[in-house]
Amino acid sequence: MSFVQDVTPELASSRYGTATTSEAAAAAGTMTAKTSGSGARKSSRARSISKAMRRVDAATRAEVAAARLDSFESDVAIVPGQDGDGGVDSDDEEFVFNENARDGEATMVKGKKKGTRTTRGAAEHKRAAAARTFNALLEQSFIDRAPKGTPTYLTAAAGPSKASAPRKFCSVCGFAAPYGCARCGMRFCSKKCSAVHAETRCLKMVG
Amino acid sequence: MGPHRARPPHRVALPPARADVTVVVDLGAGTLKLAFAEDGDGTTPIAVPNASARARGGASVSGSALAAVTDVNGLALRRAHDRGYCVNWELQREVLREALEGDLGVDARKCDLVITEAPFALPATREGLDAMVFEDLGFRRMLVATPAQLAKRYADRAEAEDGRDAGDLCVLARAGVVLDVGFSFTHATAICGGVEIARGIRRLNLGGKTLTNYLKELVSFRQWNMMDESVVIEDAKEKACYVADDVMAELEKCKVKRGGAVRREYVLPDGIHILRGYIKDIDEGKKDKNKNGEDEGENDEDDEDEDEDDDEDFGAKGPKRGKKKQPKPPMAKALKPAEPDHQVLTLVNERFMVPETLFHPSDIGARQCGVTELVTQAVENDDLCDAQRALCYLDVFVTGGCSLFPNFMERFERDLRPLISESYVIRVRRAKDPILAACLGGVDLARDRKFFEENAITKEEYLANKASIREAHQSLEFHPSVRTGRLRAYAREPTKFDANRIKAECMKLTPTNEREIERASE
Repeated sequence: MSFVQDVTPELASSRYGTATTSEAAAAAGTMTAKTSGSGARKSSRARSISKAMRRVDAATRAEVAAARLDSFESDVAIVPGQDGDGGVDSDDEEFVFNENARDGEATMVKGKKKGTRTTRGAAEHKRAAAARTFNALLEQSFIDRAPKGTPTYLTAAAGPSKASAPRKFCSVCGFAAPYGCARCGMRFCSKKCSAVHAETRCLKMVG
Repeated sequence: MGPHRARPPHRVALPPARADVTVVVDLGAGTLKLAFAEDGDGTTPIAVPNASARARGGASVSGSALAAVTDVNGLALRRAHDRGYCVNWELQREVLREALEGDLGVDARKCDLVITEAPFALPATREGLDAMVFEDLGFRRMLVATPAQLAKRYADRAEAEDGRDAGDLCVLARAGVVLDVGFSFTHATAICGGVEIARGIRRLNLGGKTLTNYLKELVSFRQWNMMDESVVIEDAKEKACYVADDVMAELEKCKVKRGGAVRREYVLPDGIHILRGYIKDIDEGKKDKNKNGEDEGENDEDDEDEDEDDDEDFGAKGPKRGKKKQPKPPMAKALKPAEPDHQVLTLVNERFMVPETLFHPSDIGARQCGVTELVTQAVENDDLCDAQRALCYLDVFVTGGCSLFPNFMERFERDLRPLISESYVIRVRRAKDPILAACLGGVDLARDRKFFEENAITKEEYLANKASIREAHQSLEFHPSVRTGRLRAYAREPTKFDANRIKAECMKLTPTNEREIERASE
């Protein structure tokens, strides 16, 4: 499960939006700037807040959402230990469970930060797999530099809906969710689901 | 042949290596569809999974052998495609070769080929296809078309099956929209005068695979960890999911205890007694309830629900469609009564919330519009005039495996109407077999020998002009100026209609009472 590392935010956004690449790049740029800026400004304060109460900023939320979408779109089930080349941790039942039971992004970001599970073999395997991804091809093709107005893969992506607003469903049970988590922004519908969410999902994707 | 491989059911009595034929291949990321053009209209293409996997015995299997693997638990598929485009040509070549030689029994070097390629394929992908077809497989001639072009070709021919005749305006003008709800993504393509409108091709990054992965995530979070079980979940999705008329109303229905009438139990394959999952028949339990005069919607029916485990009707709902077509082995049936407590996957609101993402991708956080708006985005581009748009809306042709969800078409049609100006008449139809439509269109196209030969590129031509063909791919021209074997118009000689004729025709199609209202308002 290594989608996050493979997909840069710029690419992810350009695959989804109709925005031209320069716009997308600019948007991604501001996003990063905001992240680093707010991080720099609030660094002293962030330390004083307990980890459990920390809010995830918009950029991280967007990144996590993009990673989740990307995992939905993935054709190649990257399951450690099942690719035939003696993948790591295949014998560790508990690890496999944790890796897969929750939604992809959580462990991915976690893994990135800690970096303890990446052995050399796994890293090499990942690199080899990355060369065979569509995003890698997309980057190499430079179609984002095509003259303006040329219909390409990037311009063919449908834009957001103009007819309906995003609806909100509980991330735990799937029913209509009037509430959003103050910390991570995911939706929940009731106290019960809120508890499940806090226990299993909330902030599991970051830090 | 290990113990986990059964003989593919349909690989019987094929004639030995055919030559001098035209093979039609719909190179889908999920399923390969193959047919012979010479077999004509009545042919049924072969559909095999476009993937390879390592069965538990250790041998790598692909194609129809993969479809026949008995133990699907934890089967990890390797696909040559990523996001709908081929990225691993070595794997693709092997899968295709096995399908051609094993399933079709042809010698590629003595055959012509019609093959599909997703629109806006990257230069590297196009080069890869050329190299695979001519250098590795060695076909004599190749014609590359998009699935939308071939589906439209099929749509124009399939007159009888849905009430269109050859004199229909859209057929004559070679115009319409094709909505292909595929495995990796969904494309809406506006076609006018037989030619795809470049700006009228819109892509939604959602397809059957996305839905499978979404269901996998939901189920893994709520019930069993199924993150490795793509094959099982895909099967569960195909058998259990449907499109709701009104999501909010349907959700309300699920709020009764244990999911009420919406709940279905998918019996998971255990690899021994149950080789393919199936939906448990819960009608029996219902009958009991009705006998007792109880209302279905009530909340106090736990005991009755438990009873189902004992007197279930096994295998009542076989696979209706999809890639895993072979019938359930009789052995499974014989052993069933001895297995009262197998694992089940309970699906309640997942059943319709998963396909719902096609209509509202924002439900999973995708910042794209749904399939209905996709069609309007495709038609309402700047390259089409008003009359042409009217023509396009007259033939909205839906294809692709995801359109097979029950109630998909009804919902699609109902949601589409309010998005489009009432001055347009909309006619929506679906391919008889949405999975095979493009392949059948290819068969039709290849049977027009002259048309095929005019558009195809020969191996000699390819080898002589390799550099300029590569340049044409790199240039990203929508219609390459060099002969690359890419199809420009899917049919010959479209008839041109003036705006008045189209308007008059639309008028004819409007129901009488609406016309009356219109006149009254004038």
